[in-house]
Amino acid sequence: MRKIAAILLTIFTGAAGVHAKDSSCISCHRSPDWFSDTSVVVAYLSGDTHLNFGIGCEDCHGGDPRIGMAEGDPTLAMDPAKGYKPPPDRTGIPAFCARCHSDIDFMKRYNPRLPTDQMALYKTSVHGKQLLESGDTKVAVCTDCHGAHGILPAADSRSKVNFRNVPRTCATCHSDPVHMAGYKTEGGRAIPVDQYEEFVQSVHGKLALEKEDQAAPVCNDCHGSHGATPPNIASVSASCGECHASNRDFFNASPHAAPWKELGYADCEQCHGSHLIMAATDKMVGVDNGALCIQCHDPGTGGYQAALTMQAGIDSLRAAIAAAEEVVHQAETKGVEGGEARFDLGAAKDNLVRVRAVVHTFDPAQVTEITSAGIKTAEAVRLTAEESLGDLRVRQIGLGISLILIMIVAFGLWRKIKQVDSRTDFTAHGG
Amino acid sequence: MVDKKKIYNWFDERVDLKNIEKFLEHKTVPYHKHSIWYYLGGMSLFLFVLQVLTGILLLLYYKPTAESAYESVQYIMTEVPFGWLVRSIHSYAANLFIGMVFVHMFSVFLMKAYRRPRELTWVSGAFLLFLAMGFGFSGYLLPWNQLAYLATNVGTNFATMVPFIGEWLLEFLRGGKEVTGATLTRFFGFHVAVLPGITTLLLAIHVLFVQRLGMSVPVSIERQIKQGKAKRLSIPFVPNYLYRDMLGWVLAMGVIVLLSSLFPWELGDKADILKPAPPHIRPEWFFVFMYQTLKYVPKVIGVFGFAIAGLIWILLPFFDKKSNRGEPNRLYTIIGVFVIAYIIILTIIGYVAPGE
Repeated sequence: MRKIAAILLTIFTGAAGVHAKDSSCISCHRSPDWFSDTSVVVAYLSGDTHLNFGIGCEDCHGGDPRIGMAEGDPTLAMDPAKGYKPPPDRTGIPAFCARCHSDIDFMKRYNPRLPTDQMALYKTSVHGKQLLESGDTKVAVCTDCHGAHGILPAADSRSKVNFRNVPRTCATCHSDPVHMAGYKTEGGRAIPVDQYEEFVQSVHGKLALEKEDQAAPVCNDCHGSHGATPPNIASVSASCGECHASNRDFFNASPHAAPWKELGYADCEQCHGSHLIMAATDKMVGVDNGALCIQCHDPGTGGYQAALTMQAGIDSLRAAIAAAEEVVHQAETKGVEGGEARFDLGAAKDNLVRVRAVVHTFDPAQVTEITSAGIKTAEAVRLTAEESLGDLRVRQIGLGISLILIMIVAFGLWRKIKQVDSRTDFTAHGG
Repeated sequence: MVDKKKIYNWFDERVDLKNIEKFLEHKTVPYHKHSIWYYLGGMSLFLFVLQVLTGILLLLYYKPTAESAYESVQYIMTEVPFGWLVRSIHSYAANLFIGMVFVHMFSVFLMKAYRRPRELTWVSGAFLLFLAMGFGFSGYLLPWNQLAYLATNVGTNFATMVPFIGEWLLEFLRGGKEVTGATLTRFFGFHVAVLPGITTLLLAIHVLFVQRLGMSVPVSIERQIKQGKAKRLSIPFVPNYLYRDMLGWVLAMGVIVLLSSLFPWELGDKADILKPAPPHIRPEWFFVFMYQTLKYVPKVIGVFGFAIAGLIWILLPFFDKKSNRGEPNRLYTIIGVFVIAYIIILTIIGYVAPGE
């Protein structure tokens, strides 16, 4: 058993700075005789990314792992004269990691694509400021999110910073009311602890966590990771606009942009919310119950009329697409339409997609231009599909004529049978 | 001017036309009040030939992959000149063919036409029915539409009921654990190569038996003739019987055209493996009586029961001593009527009140 363990250890630690079998760090820290908690070594040996790059204990902690065991005094390996440094406290952790991770030349040797500005960003973050300026050790440091000895690359689905796990990782502190007690926003309000619950219900949360769609944003996509800061009112649209660029540009050029600033509204959040962002629907635009426009625009005002016009345009386009879709489907299942109409209908659907972005201009003229073009396309498709269904009638008429010809032939044969039967002696061939 | 006699002599010298003529001139078919049932065999043959011809035309455009099967049938129906007609005829003639083979078999059974020395004609015919059902089952999937996909799922699932080799059989049929593009390609192979090859051979044997042994005269007619109550009548195969056969074929064509006109064979929606199955999914109509039965009895017993029943059905002629002696056999008639009634009633229930 010990032999197997030794072999496994050799395999797992083969790349480490000092070979594991020669490392007094590993020998002692994995020995239950010396340490009741051997999880540090176990985590490290279970595939820590540093281990995979050949970075051993001494590369972070100093000391000399080659000595100690033979001499019967493992503490010799942790001789400060040999460069040994005890593990840092929480305040020292960012600088401890930054010794390598902020060293561009050093990092290039291992992973040239990995950024080296984490420490610089961390110093600008709320976490970094609280830790380094206020000495608040409750805030997140590197090891809280990445782990200490079992650090996995972010692409690894087991990593706490993998996109699937980021919300849960952030929620470890941000959903804990005890942990978050006392922390306030810039405006002096208590920081809520329901962001995770809201996020999992949101359109983004469902995409990221249920459909595992990497394109969906998780916490760090809007707030940053090492430079984590809540986006303020001025920068919300910058966050959202990273993905929803057209909507951001349309909104910024819209008549809403200026009053929004005056009223102190957050650009996108005002209508769509922040963590609990639900899938946007066409019903959000217009004057019906549930529409957002009428929250500010009263009947009789220009804004109300604009909302009504935009709603009418979108509803008409949807109705035209639905009507065309039904006829096209009918023609397809009847086998008289071969996909061209459906392809053309795609153009009308594109208009619907476009108008859902253009609606952020809040300009009825621009919206109407697109919806009218879409309705025209959908109408044309519907007429084409109806014509195809008309072909069915032509086919039926053709078959009807064929049937008459078939009946004439049948009648001719029947006459012929009568004719030959009259000349046949039915008993002549018997026997 | 073409010298017809010269051409005739040229062929006669090589294929013995005179002998064929002589044979056809003397070939007769029994003629009595039940002789209408004789035409069903010829009708089945006609529908089979129609299937082969329309099938060849469809084969020119059909693509047997999950990605393009549906689209290729759509192309046949919308872009290929008269492709819709060819497909409609193929689809309706297929169903009429299977129906006709069923009716032909039961008419033969009730008239005891299988009796000595025609037992092998009966056995070859019974296997031809199974092959026809195989044609229908494999062909149904080929357009790769949702209904066909689900029905094939249901149909192939029966294979798991077969003791010992059920799982293997299922994977053999599906080309994997699920109905996928691999199943489609496999069914295409069965439909256009394996089944036609076996069927052609068996059909040739079946027709050869019919030719060698002639048409069977029903026991009741035979007895009347023997008792002097009726005369033995027959009609020349050429032209009297042939004209009648042709009339049947033309009328069958009329029925196909009428059906194609009133109820054009639809294409349906493309198969979507991820779509949930709607309730009351059933296999094709000729399997419904078996499918419905399996809802009432444990599935293993049901499948095993049908296998045994099928085997007994094939072997029944060998035990019908009475008919072989030229005596009426009321028990066999009752069995035949019961089987027909069972199939009809269970099929109707399958469509009207399928249950869970």
